[in-house]
Amino acid sequence: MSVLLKTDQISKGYGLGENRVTALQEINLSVLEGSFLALVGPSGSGKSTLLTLLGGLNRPDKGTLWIDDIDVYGLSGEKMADFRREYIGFVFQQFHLMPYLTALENVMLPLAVKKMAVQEQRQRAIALLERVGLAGKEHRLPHQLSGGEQERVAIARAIVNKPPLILADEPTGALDSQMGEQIMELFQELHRDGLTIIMVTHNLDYLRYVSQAAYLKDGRLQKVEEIS
Amino acid sequence: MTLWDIIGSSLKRRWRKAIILTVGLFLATSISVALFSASKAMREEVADSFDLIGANISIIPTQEELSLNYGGISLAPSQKDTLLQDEALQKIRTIANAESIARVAPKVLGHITSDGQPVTVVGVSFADELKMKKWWKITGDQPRGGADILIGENLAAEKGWHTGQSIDLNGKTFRIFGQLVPTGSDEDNLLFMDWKQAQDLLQMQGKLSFIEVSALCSTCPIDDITAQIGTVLPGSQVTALKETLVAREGIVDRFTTLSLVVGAVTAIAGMLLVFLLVSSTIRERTKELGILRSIGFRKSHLMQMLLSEVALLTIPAGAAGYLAGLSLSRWAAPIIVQMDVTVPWNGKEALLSVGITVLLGLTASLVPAWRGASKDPVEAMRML
Ligand SMILES: Nc1ncnc2c1ncn2[C@@H]1O[C@H](COP(=O)(O)OP(=O)(O)OP(=O)(O)O)[C@@H](O)[C@H]1O
Ligand SMILES: [Mg+2]
Repeated sequence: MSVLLKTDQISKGYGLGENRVTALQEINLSVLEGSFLALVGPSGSGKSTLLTLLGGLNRPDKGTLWIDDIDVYGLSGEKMADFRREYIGFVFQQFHLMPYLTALENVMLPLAVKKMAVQEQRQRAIALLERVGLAGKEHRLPHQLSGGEQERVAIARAIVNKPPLILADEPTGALDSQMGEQIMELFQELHRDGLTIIMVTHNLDYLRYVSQAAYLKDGRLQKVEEIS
Repeated sequence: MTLWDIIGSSLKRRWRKAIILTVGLFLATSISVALFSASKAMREEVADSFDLIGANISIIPTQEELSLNYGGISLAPSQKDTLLQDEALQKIRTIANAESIARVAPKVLGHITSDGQPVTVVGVSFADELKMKKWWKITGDQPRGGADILIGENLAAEKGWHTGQSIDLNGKTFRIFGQLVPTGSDEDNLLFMDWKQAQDLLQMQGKLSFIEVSALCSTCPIDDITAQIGTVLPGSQVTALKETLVAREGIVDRFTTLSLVVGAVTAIAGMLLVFLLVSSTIRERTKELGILRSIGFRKSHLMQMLLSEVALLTIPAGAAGYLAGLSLSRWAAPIIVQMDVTVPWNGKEALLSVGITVLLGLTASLVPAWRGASKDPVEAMRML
């Protein structure tokens, strides 16, 4: 397996002067293609910050990130947007669906800025909604769906562009345990299909679904564990 | 899914603000268009009135002896050597401001005797004279040939002449094509004929008694024209009669200034409205914009979306604003200035007002749209 993602000494702080908070310190992380990595650690340890940095949604104060041999922070703002579109699928705890677009439209959204025929977009989005178990609910608006269903729409949206890397920030955080398990099973399937996934989670029970766990504390990477 | 689908859904969701923005810009455009087209129509109407008022420059030979009176201008027909020459007509057309000269009307004046009584003959160019003296009301025909004459009411009564009659003057036959409805001036006693005929009849070949010029002085300073004519015609006295229009021009000038001020204020108010509405919708949409950025929309995609939304609303606002504004000025302009003004529909101006409305809308949205599109997506998504 080749290395998909590699960071070199990534540091990030927030605020100025006395209010300065160090969120991440000199993170060196390497993720192989096809891994399912869990990011665990106490609240405030820097998990979300690291995830946004890995997805090129944010820039660090120091350090480098290579994904597929691209120096991500070397890209200009617009190129970085193109990079996110092609390489990253984000899934958030708060779902972050567009409230006035239907489930189907939300899934098609990342394709809107690609020159893809609308018919092809629809076919792809409908197939994905079926895959995440939402057949027949394509035309519902987000508020007409349960939390678990909204999360499934968000997952379908994250993979519609066939990105090599999925970054999920506590995707089960807003769901009850049963729904959480179902979502984890869905991620497991995606992993088996070959997707590389990095997921922040608080729930150590879910480590049984993943192949690796990275432990963060006070902005530092403590260890990376293989899970069989 | 295309950017247009997103724009459509977004507009549908925020239809109230969309309507306020459209109506606001519609009002701003219609007020500006109404004022602009009314003042433009008035300015054109004043320019046209120079024709209506008639000559605004008169040219007479310089002389001492005063014996004949016509239209307030005293002339001495006996001193034929001091008269103007035919060439003067061409010379006037050579001045620097020649393009402002609408009409050059020659006049040949003299007395003849008919049935033992003196008759004052005025030789004119009918084509110019009838255009310049729009207040003339003529009963009868249009002049058809060189031998056609026009007579004043008093003269007709005195002589017992009537329209259509042929009369003999110094052995030549003339046909009366029309009679002048009384104007209350000297004109009621005069006999008008073609100026070439008058020159023959009065033995004044190649000579002119005076010349009237009508210049379009909304496009030029009349004093310059007067001076220029004085230079090409030495030995003549060139006088501008401009008082008549000055007062009206003053009203129109003041109205034009007022229109510009009100139009500018309206445009600024319209832009402010757009700025506030767009700022507030973009603030509401900060999170949305952050989501779009996170899934790979470029800043430029967001700008394109936000500005297209504004453009989509401003196009109908501009078009409807033009229609409403023009209708308003067609109705109101004649009442405001007490003038018989016509405000024509104008495709170019319609396009221009749509263009300006869109441009103002986009300009006012540029800063809030840029701010929204540039916001840090991580921060943006934290928003509720
Ligand atoms: N926008 C911000 N401004 C200031 N400080 C921030 C900001 N975002 C995060 N931080 C700080 O950076 C540190 C890491 O935050 P981060 O959100 O990455 O933690 P986390 O591990 O995801 O926590 P949680 O498990 O509670 O989600 C924290 O101390 C947090 O207070
Ligand atoms: Mg977090």
